[in-house]
Amino acid sequence: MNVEILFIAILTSLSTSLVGVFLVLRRLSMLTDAISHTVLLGIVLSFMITLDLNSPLLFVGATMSGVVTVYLIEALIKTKRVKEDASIGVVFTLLFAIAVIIINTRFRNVHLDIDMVLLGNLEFAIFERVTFLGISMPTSLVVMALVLLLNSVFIAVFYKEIKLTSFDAALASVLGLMPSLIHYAMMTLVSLTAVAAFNAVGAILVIALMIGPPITARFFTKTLFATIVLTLAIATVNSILGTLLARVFDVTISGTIASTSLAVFLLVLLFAPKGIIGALIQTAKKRRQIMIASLLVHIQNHEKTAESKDELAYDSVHKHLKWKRQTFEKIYLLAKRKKFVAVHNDLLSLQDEGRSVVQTFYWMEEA
Amino acid sequence: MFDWSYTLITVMVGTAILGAVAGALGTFLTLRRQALIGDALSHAALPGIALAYIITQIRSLSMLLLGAAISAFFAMFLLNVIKRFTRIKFDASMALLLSGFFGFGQVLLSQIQKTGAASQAGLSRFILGQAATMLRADVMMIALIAFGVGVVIILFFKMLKLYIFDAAFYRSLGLSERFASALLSVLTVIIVVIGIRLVGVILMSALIIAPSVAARQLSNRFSGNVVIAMMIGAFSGFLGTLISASRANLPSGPVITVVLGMIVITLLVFSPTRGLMRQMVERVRFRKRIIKYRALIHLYENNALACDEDVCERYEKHRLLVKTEEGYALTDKGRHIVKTLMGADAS
Repeated sequence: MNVEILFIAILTSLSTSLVGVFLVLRRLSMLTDAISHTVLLGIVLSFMITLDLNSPLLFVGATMSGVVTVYLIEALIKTKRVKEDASIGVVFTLLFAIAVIIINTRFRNVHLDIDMVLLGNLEFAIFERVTFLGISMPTSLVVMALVLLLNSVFIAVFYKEIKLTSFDAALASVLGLMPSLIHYAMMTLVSLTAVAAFNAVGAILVIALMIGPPITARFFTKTLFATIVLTLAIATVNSILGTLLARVFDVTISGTIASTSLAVFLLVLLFAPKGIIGALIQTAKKRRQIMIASLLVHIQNHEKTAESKDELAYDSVHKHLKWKRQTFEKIYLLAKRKKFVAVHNDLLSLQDEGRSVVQTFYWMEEA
Repeated sequence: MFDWSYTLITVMVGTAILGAVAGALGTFLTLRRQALIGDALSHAALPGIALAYIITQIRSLSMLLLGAAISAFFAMFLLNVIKRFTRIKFDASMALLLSGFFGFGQVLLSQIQKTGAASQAGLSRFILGQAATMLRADVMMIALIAFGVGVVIILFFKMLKLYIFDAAFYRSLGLSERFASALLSVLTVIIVVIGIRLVGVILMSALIIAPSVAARQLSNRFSGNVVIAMMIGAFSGFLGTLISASRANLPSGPVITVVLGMIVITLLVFSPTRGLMRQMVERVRFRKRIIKYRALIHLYENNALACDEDVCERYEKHRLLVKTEEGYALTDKGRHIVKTLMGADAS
């Protein structure tokens, strides 16, 4: 397998997921969707000026159009006429549609393919090469390495500022950290990263690379720093796994990496301690505990009363608790194993352990 | 320049019906702040379309729509599961599902291409839509389904309206929240899926969001919003298809989107009730009035008795002040002006 492709995949994953951590944190995930689509307009407009698909100006134009998109969406929200999500939907679809129309009417014969921009092509990324430090390398590899470096340096230098802006924009503003400046700097980086990742993975799949690893990491971590570290680890695993799987099944690499990001997330969603199965087990455990408590309280309420022969009889107590017979037997066995209850002459009674447990309930009620 | 064929007219009518129903549905979705769900679901339909093709090996529209619907429903189900069991933000899970599903769809497509069965053209049609080249029978089917969705919306209109505006009251009537939410989801998936072929994946969200955003600028009543959104949706679908058919290489989805975008921008600026233009004019007018009645406000606020002689005389001439023995006093009219100015919504 081609090592260069693998490295491009890893670098792309790392640089996209690094900014993704903050996008998820600041609830801007769908903004990525908007940015990644509208950079097409930036590319098209820059191409109209340069008429050269390899011009670095295309890069600048595309990045700027991402930032302009964010600005337009925020301007629309500020008019208070349109809600946030609707603003995103209106702005990006319009800009994208304009780009598609321009391409279809004016650049039919140019290699400015919409599929290419939206879907990317990691397989071809190694054919475009530059000589860097005296070694011939794929352009994408160099570009992604530079973007990763830029993202890392920015986040490392402004870590405190970004963190505060993300968690408490008002406080950041009071402390003079200029949250809107940080915000736009961040958005420029997001744009730049999305544009750089285009060659490899395209506009739509870059979203999975940005958002997938951070929201997977959040299942396990509590602090921002830990989230970043784990995000980068997951991103690396996803890209390696995706590239390998694509190789095995001989299918598109970028699509496989995006699918892998989703699959890994869904697995974690299901099996993580805080995931679905964990949550279901917790709920079942809580339910059992409450049922045992109900049984104990029931016994306490009715022992030594006139109706205790009926209320506490092993064969009829489930009716009074409005449980099924099997449910009662299961709960009784659990309570018996804990030495909470026992049966004497077919009547349920509390053991010492059980009595002290019931006492704590009453204590809680009094408190 | 136009080929006014029967097919073109069918397609135009079909797109118009789709636009109207998507507009109506969009009004509900934007109010629930789920405007972008259409975007997510339409992307999520790709693997279903590819799978339907792999399994059936034929390019029948109904099979592809079925596949698309199943995979969009699955995405919707996952969204709800994630929402229920985790604290992940809705937009984050939406973004990941959108992109992940799309990626998986692409994997399947590359598998299809390997066997040489389908061309790449199919994909770009999926992304952008190409109404003009559709078969008449297909258009009829899509229009019929859209019409059916429209009927369901009308039947459950009151219920959905109540659910969106006052969920607590809705619950207190013993109605099921789960039912309303599921109904909206099902209708959304259906509309998105049938819309894909006409306007494409990416621009389907424009057809859902833009009409309701435009309608909101014209009406403050919910039913008014729905009706206007339907008209705008239908008009854009109609006009967009017409323009797109007038030239080769003009995909219908983007053209419809641009038409919608222009309508939204125009209404945002020029709406007679909420337009930015009107807001600006009112602001300027208010500022002028404040300058004009500055001294009057001063008299009112401070219970003063005199101001610059010429100013006071001018006010007196307009019967805002009367001259008494102690000095000037405000008339009822003058007091009224000050009160409206001070209490006016000077946004």
